[in-house]
Amino acid sequence: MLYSPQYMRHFQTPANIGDLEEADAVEDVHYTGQGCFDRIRIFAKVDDGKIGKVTYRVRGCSGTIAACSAMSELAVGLPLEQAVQIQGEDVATELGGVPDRKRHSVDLAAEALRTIALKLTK
Amino acid sequence: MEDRLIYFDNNDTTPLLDPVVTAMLPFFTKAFGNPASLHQLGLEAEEAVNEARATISGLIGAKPEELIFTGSATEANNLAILGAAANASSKRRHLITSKIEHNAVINPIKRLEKDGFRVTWLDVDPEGFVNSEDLKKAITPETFLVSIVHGNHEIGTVQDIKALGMICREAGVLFHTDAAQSFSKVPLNVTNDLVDLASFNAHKLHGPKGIGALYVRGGVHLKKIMEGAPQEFNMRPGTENVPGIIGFAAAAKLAFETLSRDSAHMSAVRDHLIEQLLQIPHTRLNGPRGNRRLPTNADITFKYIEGEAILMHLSMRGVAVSSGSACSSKNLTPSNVLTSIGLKHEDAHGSIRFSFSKLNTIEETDIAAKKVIEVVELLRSMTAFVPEKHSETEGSGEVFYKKKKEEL
Repeated sequence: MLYSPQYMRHFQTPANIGDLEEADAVEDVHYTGQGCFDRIRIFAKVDDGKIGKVTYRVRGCSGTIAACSAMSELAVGLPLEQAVQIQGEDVATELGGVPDRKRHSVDLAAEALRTIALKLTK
Repeated sequence: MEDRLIYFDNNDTTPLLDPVVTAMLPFFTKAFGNPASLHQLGLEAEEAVNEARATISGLIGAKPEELIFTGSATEANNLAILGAAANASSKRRHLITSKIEHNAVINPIKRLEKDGFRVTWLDVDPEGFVNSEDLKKAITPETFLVSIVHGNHEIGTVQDIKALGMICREAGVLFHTDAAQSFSKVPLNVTNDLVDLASFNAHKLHGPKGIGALYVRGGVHLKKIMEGAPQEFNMRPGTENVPGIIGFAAAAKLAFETLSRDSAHMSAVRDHLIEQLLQIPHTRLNGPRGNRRLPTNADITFKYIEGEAILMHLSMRGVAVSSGSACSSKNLTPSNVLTSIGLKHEDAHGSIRFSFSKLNTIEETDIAAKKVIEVVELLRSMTAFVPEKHSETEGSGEVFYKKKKEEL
């Protein structure tokens, strides 16, 4: 399967990458399955109970970089209670679909958002 | 994508050379006969196949009747391993291989292991070499086969095949080598090097895909693994891939005509790229240097970043390479070769294989090296795990994370 234009755009020019000085929370997630060592550090700022901004740092394959970028755009404006429900499939949709070998990437990016949203709700 | 592709993935496959295509073309349309047919067209096809067989066998020090054409080196490996096992006596149910073999050797052997054969998986040293003493110690009266790759497909290690062959010959054990990567790149004479079985293919030497060969030393008996008509000395049924065989012989002949010159050229290209890339901080060369390495191969680990992301960025910049990254594979398993030479899984993920043919140039390595430096800097700028960036020691990213979280 060839990658979609959305996937390639997010991979080549990832949005919102970097630290976020004004973050209300920072969380780390890494892939816990066999083999893969992809890691994400996610920063988030909350405005009025909604995700105001998400940034991240990532060590990962093209899929995980693209998924982080898509997730960071998807997250903005989401109420925290919705952000804790985000699934890999939601991120995959933003990327115009991903092949099976990149399923771990969208799952990990979604997990990063859920993890930080959960922390912010506490 | 830039206009001119720099193709550094020749351990994967190579482009056909024009004379190879020219040699093959008549056998698609005019001389299309089946070598088994008894009419003129068939006899001509049979003659052409026999000439090709004589050409290739002559290049490896074998007799024509010792060469069986197959569909690939993978099939040749399967025929050697499964065919030898099927022919082994019930008292000889042990075989020996190394931990850095290609899947085309590993998986038939794993099948035998499941079927009750005992397998010794030999360790290799940090450069990927099998220790002769380890092999000697592993051989038992039950051992029927040793299979050790000649030139490794990922890190380029070229084993001392004659030393290993001698141990096996003295012990009365069959010795098989997968020579798919080494054929026409480094010398191999199956007779002098005491090899009983050797696998080859065409598409790593500017020949076509879908054609391989197995050398079977005269007097060595295998059981065939497919049933059908009695082609290929009744060892490999199926109508011969005549254009493929002709292309294989044409490519091999061309390669051997200039083997010394081409090997020297590819070694120079390889070493020029290695020297430039090792200037990048936190890199390491996997496998040996010099003439104990395939002239076609350079494998470099770029720590703290993911090989597949490097590969994709290089691809967009017009450089084709391959990666030992698990993220390049569907099941996310890391390269068995890189972990067997002692790389941490995390570092195996950051490894890139650059592989060359005689068509590559020094100029291409200069262009590619600049692009690699640019990509590595870009990807390292995205991660929180590069040591000097955060004054952390290598591999302690988790510590950094925890510290930063506590600060926040």
